[in-house]
Amino acid sequence: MTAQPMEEIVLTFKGTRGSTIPLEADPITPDVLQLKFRPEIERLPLYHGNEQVLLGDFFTVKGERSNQIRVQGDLSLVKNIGAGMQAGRIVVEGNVGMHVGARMSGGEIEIHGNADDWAGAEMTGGLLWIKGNAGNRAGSAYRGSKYGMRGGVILIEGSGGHEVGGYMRRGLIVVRGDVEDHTGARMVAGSIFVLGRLGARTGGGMKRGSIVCFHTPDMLPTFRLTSTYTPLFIPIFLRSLQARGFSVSEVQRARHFTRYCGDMAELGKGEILVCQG
Amino acid sequence: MQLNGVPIEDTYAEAFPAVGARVLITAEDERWAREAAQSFTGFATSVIGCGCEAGVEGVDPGETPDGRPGVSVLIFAMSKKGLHDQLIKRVGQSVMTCPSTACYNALQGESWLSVGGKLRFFGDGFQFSKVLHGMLNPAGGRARRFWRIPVMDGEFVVEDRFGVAKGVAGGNFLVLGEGLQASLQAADAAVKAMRRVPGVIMPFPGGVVRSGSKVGSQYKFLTASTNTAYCPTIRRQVQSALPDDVGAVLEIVIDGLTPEAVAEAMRVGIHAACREGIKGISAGNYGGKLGKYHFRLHEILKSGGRT
Repeated sequence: MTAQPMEEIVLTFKGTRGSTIPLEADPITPDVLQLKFRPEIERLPLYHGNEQVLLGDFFTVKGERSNQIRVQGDLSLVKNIGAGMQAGRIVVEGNVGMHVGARMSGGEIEIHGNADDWAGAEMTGGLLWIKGNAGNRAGSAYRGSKYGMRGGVILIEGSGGHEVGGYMRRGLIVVRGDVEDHTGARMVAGSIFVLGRLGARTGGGMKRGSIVCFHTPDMLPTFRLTSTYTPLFIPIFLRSLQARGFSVSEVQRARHFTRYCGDMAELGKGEILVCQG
Repeated sequence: MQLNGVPIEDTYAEAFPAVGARVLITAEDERWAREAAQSFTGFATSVIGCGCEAGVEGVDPGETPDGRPGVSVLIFAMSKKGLHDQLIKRVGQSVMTCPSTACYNALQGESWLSVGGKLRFFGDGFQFSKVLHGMLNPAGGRARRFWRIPVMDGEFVVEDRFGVAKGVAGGNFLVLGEGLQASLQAADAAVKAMRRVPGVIMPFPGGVVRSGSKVGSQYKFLTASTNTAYCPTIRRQVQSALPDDVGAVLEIVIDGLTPEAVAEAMRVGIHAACREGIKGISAGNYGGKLGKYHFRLHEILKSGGRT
């Protein structure tokens, strides 16, 4: 038996029929759908509140047995798309609800719209590319968890909410727009680049890791200025982002950064690098 | 066979398998990158006496990871362990010490050696690691880890692992000239032309060696000694390979990442060396019993570098 050529699966959202209760769409991952024929996909169980429904009740399905998934429609109330995925690719054409790509360990998710809270929370690998804005706690840890993001890349072309990269342990988050408060709060390692403006208490409680800023944030008193120099890893990352198609042209020539180390209330081996031009 | 009126002896160069790495050194300007590269490749002419053979690759490395001017260096050794030792010593002592430099792997190897991963301890606990995720790596899906080691001018950035590939060491040819001037000019022209070939180095000073050797010696403690058959001053005392009109012989030794690159370098080098005052081109071998690679001069010149 020869392998069938993989065409993408297209899921078109029919809407929640006026309900404001979110739909939990955990099975929408390439890992689940790539082995299933169309009728099996339509019969996959989803939760709408406490009611179990079928995927076919809320989506029209085209295609089968593919690890390439395209989801269409306003999915603001659809949660957990791509959560825990390990491989393959999801393209979301529209806004998407909470927990998109949470705990994913591989593959790619591309969102042509905004993502709600907890996008890429605790992810360990793969690429989550949000073309619009992200909600709060992108790449962050769930309450009670020790670590947030532990690998992979989150690219946000719009703005980010509160606590981006909270408790982050590894990986890269890049936000082209502004972010709210507590960026990199209690960060343990990894890198966060913010091309826009930052809210209050950036890096509060961070132990290690790097927060790269292109606008001067309000610095907590527990961060100490060390020097202004040229950190070479920044152009390496910026050039790679540009080559990948994530435009950073407005900051690509930035060379001089002032380094603040902290948080001295914690281990103090983290850093906030502030661009000086 | 003759090239430009110069007889090409029907013989072959005997070369050996080696393991190699390509190191890309960048700095604030090209001068400092070259300073580091020169230091890195110093005392690296022969694996027997120096532990490795290294040289600056002649071709422009193009775009560098940090966008600064860079110099590409190739280094070869007989074993992975030998290469590992030399990489750690040379990156540590010649690149890390040189102001403003950074050091990157520039070879998709068959296996990997930890270099930055060892040198990081110089940071005394203040070193930082930054990982460029494979999905952002334009060179492919492999993640790249860079170590940032605090030093007195800021930070030394060195890549964690360097690729190792099988290569070829000891490709060579001999330039037989009527005198030293003619041989020097021909060898110089040859090296200049060969430096335009990617993936090869000529590890001796200026790319040229005058003290070619043969296996063995009349002294028991010596495994190699001067190539008596090509020494003009003792031609009447030994079985000489030199015609009467040859007054000076120079050898060009080539190491390369592939046999094809070595053959191509030999081809362009021999073409450039065949000029006025040159009485013949030959090559060094050990009877074909020691080296895996045989580069036959006539075949290389006929086939356009392909072996």
